[in-house]
Amino acid sequence: MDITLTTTPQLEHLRDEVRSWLEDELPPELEGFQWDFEEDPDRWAFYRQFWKQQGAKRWLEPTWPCEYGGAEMSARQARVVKEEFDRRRAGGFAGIGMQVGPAILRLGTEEQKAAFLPGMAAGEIMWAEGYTEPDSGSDLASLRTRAVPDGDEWVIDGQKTFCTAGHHCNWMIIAARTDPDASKRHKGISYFLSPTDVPGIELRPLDNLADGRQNLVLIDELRVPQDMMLGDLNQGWQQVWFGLGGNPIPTFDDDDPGPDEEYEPGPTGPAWVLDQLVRYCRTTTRHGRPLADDPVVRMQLADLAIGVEVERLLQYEGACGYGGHLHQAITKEFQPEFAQRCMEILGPLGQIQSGEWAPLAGEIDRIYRRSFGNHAGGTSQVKRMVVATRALGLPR
Amino acid sequence: MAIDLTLDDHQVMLQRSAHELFRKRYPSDVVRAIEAGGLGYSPEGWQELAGLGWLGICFPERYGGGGGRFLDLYPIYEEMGRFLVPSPHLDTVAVAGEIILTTGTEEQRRALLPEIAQGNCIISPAILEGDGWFGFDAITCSAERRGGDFVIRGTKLLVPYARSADHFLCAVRTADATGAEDISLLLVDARSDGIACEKIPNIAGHALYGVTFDEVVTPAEHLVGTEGGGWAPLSDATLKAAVLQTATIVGAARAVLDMTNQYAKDREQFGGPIGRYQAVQYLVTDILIDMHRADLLAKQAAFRIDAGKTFAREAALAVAFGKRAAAHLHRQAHEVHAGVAFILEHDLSLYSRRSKFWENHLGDARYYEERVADSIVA
Repeated sequence: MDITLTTTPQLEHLRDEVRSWLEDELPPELEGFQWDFEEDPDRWAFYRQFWKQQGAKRWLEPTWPCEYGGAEMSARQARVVKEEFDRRRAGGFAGIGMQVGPAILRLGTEEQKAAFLPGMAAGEIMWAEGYTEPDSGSDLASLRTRAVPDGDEWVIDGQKTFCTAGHHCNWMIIAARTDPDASKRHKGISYFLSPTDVPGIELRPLDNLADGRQNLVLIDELRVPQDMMLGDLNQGWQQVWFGLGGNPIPTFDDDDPGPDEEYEPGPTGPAWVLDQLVRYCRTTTRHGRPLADDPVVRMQLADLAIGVEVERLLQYEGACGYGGHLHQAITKEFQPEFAQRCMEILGPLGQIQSGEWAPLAGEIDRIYRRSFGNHAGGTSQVKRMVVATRALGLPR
Repeated sequence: MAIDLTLDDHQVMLQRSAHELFRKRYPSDVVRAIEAGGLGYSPEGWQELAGLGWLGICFPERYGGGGGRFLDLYPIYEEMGRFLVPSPHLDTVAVAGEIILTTGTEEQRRALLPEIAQGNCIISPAILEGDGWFGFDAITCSAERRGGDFVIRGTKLLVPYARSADHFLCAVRTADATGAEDISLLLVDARSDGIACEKIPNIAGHALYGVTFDEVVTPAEHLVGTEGGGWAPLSDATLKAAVLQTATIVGAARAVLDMTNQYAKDREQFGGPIGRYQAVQYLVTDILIDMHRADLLAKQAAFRIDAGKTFAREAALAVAFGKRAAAHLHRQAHEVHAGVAFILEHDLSLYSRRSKFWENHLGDARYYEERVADSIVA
């Protein structure tokens, strides 16, 4: 029965180590990198190197087994590492490794684990997403990319789209139909692993609203060996997309003797933005008084603080009785709302993206534009429909 | 590292007992009869709560209480919301009882807390006045020293259960209380000369009164806390009580969600249940989302209060959101039910009418948003 986070001398020692490492390795002007919303070549070059150094410290995938490049950290140790990276707004590792890693840990063959996991943990392998298709977005199970067996290889043809930062990634995970009977939908899909720099894969840029580059992926007679199928034939939807089956992912405990002490991690994500905005409101004068004394602005700030607090609690709540889709519905609707409210407080100057007149150095403009990209993994409407039909049992 | 907002075994048991008891005792026809009856609560029901030890549940044992924890009240309040249990618990126990416990003299505690715990004493806080704002700056009611007494003049509004009250806990300005925040708290015997109570018609059908104090005399030893030092304990106790009232809103939301979800499944139009339409699914899931957010925020605040931590910011966030959520979720429920819930025989309006009381009692959302702003801008 504990809603507070606790820490121990050992954990604080780890925190100090991460903190001082970040002080050495991450210059303040390079904070705030977001791989899915940036194309600046200098910042990309910096972070490619940064992730490799982070990997060398075993802090990219700290909870993984040591043999795969992890540090066998406990959940709370990994949390401390993440808090420090978040506190410095260090850009998270690009690509969708967060989803591919656990899938390989659960479903991968020994050869696949050895081939991919150490490279991922070292910051060498970045995964591009090959799920969404031009005609299969929210209804992903209708996908039409197909894989046909040919000897001990599969030949894949089709199109994938919205592949975020795919041109920076060296590997791609591809969902393809392996049972030609389209009526089987969920039951005829398998997942394949392929390098991106091979004949048969062509990426065409789709620049997005928030300074990122996504890609249309043309897959033309792409040949993938049988041993690059992840999970079982035709079981990909259940195994990879829904995360079912396979071996349990090993987890590690620490034998930290404590004593536990309460602590408050610093603000991250929207809480960090709100902090900046409050500071701006205290120091900016309008109508001859600080914005923070304007009763309307105060109400708007209070409203933002409530939403931010809910987001914080949802993050720590873990699974709730209504499933993760409820959390995602709340968060996906919160993001554009939050960004718009921040914009309203800034007023006309909120349009300015950079330069001396840009409030918060353009941060609100950035989160506003990014908030329209909150559909990855399913739109808020899909999440609502899942909550309605699965959690509340309304008819489909 | 998930934070854990689950109640302990004892509190889960309390919730189950409260659920079973209220389900049996307060079917909607009883709730309707109590509303029509004038008192606004059931004296037998009040005695039953006393017998269960739920009135003094958080008072120390030496004052006739159960020595329980703040969190023990959370599930009880949630179930009071689910079944719309009408009772002076919030006002008498959570506001007045709490203030007497934290701020009163030993004599006041010994005289009043056991009586409250036994169900023999109802104390109605008399705070709000004619300008409708909850804060200290809206209090004009005066108390002037005369010998060993205070003489009170002024009118308080929306005072709950005034007709049944044994005492009022009246927020006043005394001569020595000259600063804006210098409010004093006086206990006033409800049978004193010069008190006139007038029932105020209100949307919730709640027992709310206008109470006029016309030269009402109360002995100086009925001052609770120091002269001019009343606002801090009042504000503290009402903030805690408002968190419990948010639990009531969450409990009511569970009932409204069940009712609305069931209706969306049962009601057929255009050849099928209306719940198959996404426009309707959005309305139903709105209720769930409001409820879940209010519950998270209120539980966080209640756990902090329970653990003796600072809670001003977390409680204000929870209460402000809970009040906004109450308004919104009832509106969505009416949208789904449409015509059928506009007819009084349907139970939804029992909830939506009471929601307006919860949205305003002990301060409205605007008031608590001001407190949130204070806590983040300061």
